[in-house]
Amino acid sequence: MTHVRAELAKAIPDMMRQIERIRNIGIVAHIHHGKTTLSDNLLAAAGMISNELAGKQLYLNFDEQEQARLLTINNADVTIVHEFEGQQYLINLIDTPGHVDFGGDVTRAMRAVDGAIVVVCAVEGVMAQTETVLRQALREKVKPTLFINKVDRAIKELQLTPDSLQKRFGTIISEVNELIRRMAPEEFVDEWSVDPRDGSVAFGSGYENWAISVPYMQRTGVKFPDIIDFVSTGRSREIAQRAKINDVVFDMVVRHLPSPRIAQRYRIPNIWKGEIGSSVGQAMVNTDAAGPTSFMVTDITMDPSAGEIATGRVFSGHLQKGMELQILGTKLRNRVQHVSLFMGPERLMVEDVPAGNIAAVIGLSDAFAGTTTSTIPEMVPFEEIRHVSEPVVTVAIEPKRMADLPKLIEVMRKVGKEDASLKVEINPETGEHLLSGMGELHLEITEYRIINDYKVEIEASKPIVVYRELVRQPGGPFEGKSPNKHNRFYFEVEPLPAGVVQAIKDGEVPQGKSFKDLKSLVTKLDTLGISRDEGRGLVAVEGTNILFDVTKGIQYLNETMDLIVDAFKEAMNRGPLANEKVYGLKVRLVDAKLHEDSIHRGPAQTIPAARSGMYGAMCLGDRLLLEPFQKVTVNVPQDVLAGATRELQRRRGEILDMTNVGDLQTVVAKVPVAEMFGFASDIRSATAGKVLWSTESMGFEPVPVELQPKVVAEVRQRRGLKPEPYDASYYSG
Amino acid sequence: MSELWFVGLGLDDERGLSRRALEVLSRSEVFAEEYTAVAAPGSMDRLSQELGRPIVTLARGALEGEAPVLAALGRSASVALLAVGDPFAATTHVALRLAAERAGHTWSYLPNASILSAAAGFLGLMHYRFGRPVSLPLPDPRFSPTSPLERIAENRRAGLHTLLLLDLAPERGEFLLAGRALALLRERDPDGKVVGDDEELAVAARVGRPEARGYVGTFARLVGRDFGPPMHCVVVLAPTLHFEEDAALARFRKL
Ligand SMILES: Nc1nc2c(ncn2[C@@H]2O[C@H](COP(=O)(O)OP(=O)(O)O)[C@@H](O)[C@H]2O)c(=O)[nH]1
Ligand SMILES: [Mg+2]
Repeated sequence: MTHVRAELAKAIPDMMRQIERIRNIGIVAHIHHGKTTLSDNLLAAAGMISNELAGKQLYLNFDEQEQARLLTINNADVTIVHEFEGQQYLINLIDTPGHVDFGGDVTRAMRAVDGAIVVVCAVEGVMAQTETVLRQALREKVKPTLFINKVDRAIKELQLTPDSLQKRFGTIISEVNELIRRMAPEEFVDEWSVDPRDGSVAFGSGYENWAISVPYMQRTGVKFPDIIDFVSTGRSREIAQRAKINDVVFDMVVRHLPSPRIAQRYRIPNIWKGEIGSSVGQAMVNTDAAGPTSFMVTDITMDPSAGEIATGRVFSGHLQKGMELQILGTKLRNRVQHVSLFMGPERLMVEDVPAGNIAAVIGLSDAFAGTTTSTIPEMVPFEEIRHVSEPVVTVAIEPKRMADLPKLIEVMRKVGKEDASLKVEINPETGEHLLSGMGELHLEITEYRIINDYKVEIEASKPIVVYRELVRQPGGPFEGKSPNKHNRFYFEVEPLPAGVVQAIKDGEVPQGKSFKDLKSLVTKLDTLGISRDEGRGLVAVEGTNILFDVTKGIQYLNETMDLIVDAFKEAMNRGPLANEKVYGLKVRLVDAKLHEDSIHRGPAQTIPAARSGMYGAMCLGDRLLLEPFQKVTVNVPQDVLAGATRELQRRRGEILDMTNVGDLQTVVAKVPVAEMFGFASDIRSATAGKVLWSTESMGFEPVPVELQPKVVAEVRQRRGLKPEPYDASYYSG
Repeated sequence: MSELWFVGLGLDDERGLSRRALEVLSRSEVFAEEYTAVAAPGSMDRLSQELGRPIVTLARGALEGEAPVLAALGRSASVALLAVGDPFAATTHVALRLAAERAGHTWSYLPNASILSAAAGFLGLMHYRFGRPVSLPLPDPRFSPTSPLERIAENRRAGLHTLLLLDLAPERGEFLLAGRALALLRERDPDGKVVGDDEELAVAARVGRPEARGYVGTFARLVGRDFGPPMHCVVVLAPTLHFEEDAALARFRKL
């Protein structure tokens, strides 16, 4: 039984202290599997919004643009009180984006919660993004439960018999369990598999507002064949009264997902790298509200009246109006002006929020999504949240009226802060304001926000694909000379093993040039295919590239190394082919000849020499331009299938998989981002509008050989460079 | 095939050129470089007037790039590079000489006074008692080499003086002057392990010019002081002095 909103305000302050009776949860799903509809109806049943509105007004999607597109973009959070076996529980529900283009947000939301409801559509079954979101949850040690949704459709459209329906559920459950087995933390592999018999799996229809689970059937006597009977004879409303969706789902949450008290014990060592024995470490492991405060910001939203709101998880201590918090990683301290809980578009102001809860705070103006704040200035911040994918499309933004420029810059900084998967580059010198994101749609939505929410009229350039550079094979040694000819540096390059690139992306190999624990890093690299001998020469990591110094005993090289690192950074951020970033390159310094006197090998000499050495070696290794790819999943009925596949193939798409369930076809294709522009409207007309589709980043791969010169020339000309890149002889000058 | 003349201007102004040098310059296409040291103000303009021909001053990039000089060798029988001090001493133009050789040209050399010898001469120190010279770069957050201090320490251990040449960036009007150079040394040697506060050093300012001045005193007295306009250099003295050196330095101690 869930409580209605009026009572909430009174009950909540007290309940926030009953840590054993709190659940912090998120709902995750493949796009269109019904996450938003489910969330909405859960809220309606909980009295948070009226029944009539639910399902019509997608409550959690209060962003109007998003409603139009039926996509959930921003996290929207809500707090609910639920009664279970005579006890009251506080459930903090975080909505997460449904479009994997916005993968960054999902990961952040996962940090704030301890448990997840994984929604899987009964008709489509387990899909690519089901795996992605499950991986994100499990990596953060977030425990899953399963909700099989759209059972009404399975019954009505597929006309499955009880037997074949059961079979279908069985397949989904075992596929989900297979994924859990593969990706769950070792200690939970068995414990976390889901099982309908213990109620960690529920079935239902978010749309028709009913759900059922085995324990609920046992308790209430409602039987599954009854449900099939009701649903197939158009009496779903009745079943919604008897098999209440909020009771079934929240019972599952309370029974199977951990309280913060239990979860923080094993999650803190996983997500926080500080000393567990320290006072703040102990306070977090024990969810101690009396200890030092640590509050991790997982999301920043802009409220038109209140300004910037930081949402996040209080891991220890408590948050109170007026208290000062250190913004870790900076020298700044911010004062907490208001503390509240989120209830959809509204907030409930409270005096203070103790450890284990999710809170919204006004006043932390220097915090970003991902920032840790604390009463202890020297606290080790939470590990940076890993982003799943990097931006692949860029637009240049200009204000329509020049007078709006300062405002535009401010707004761009804000949207960059709100959405960590967006990259904002503001260059006062070139006057270029660049916005990079996960896809065309992602950028369009952001542009829409800038215009409609922030009221700045803008002009956006055509979207541009972000390319990367690499070499086909080992190149070098190549000699780079200093302008004064007194110094020579010799470099070799080759592609890094894929495992190393992944380890850099996952943050296991940190960026920069000073490494705390070089020894274990060398061991780690050894397992990934970089010999210990080479690994010991690790100098710097820039982007997904590594510089090794494999020379031995060269006098004065040490005092020149910082300059070589500067050259490395420059070269990796502006490749020799098209000034795009270099991706996954190993650079080895194999020899150097230096002038005796330091003044003859300063920055003006060493940096160009080393840079030419690296560029030249890349020329010898046969330079490659890499382009981003997306996995495009398209769902269409049989009759428009041909139109859909034609549309994909027209775009250099490669069909990876085609499956069908009844009349519904699922096509999975790999398509270069460069060819995806305008896809939304083209696929709609190619399929008479009968299409659901989604995309997911697939990383970078070489541009086809025959296209490379043309694309390189285009990119270079856009940058104001001559169309042909320089060759090795240019760099040996 | 043409001839490339490497002509030293010496440490003062155009009057430090030999008659031979003037004769060569007056029939050559003339380039000058003033980024490794600067001549007395106005020298190049007066010389150009006197020769009745232009003198093209090359920036570091242009000279190191070699193209302008090599191109001149292609069109003129005689090309001269005029360098302040000596063209093959503290900063050497040997790379350009090799490039000219590779291109099939000949070269000639008209040496002139270099700070490498003149600093010791001015102060009255014996050349035989100097260790390896060392330059001190202008401070740069990206580049603070430790080798200059190591070199000084090495020379002192061997009982030798160290000539410390000071960086300049004339294109930015920036000169590392002796007072600041000593402060930089102290920053990198905070405990005075290499040169202590009460050990003696010599500063030689504007050597070779009428305004030349020498200053000898303890590190503590000299650090941070203003020794007038550039160029400056510093000699970190050997732990002991020869009696003649000691006598020669005496008059600089009073200043
Ligand atoms: N028949 C049926 N349709 C559903 C159900 N849940 C969601 N839908 C529909 O599926 C589409 C996508 O739902 P939405 O909640 O936006 O999915 P999300 O992308 O996961 O948030 C919408 O058209 C919903 O009306 C369900 O249980 N049954
Ligand atoms: Mg949604």
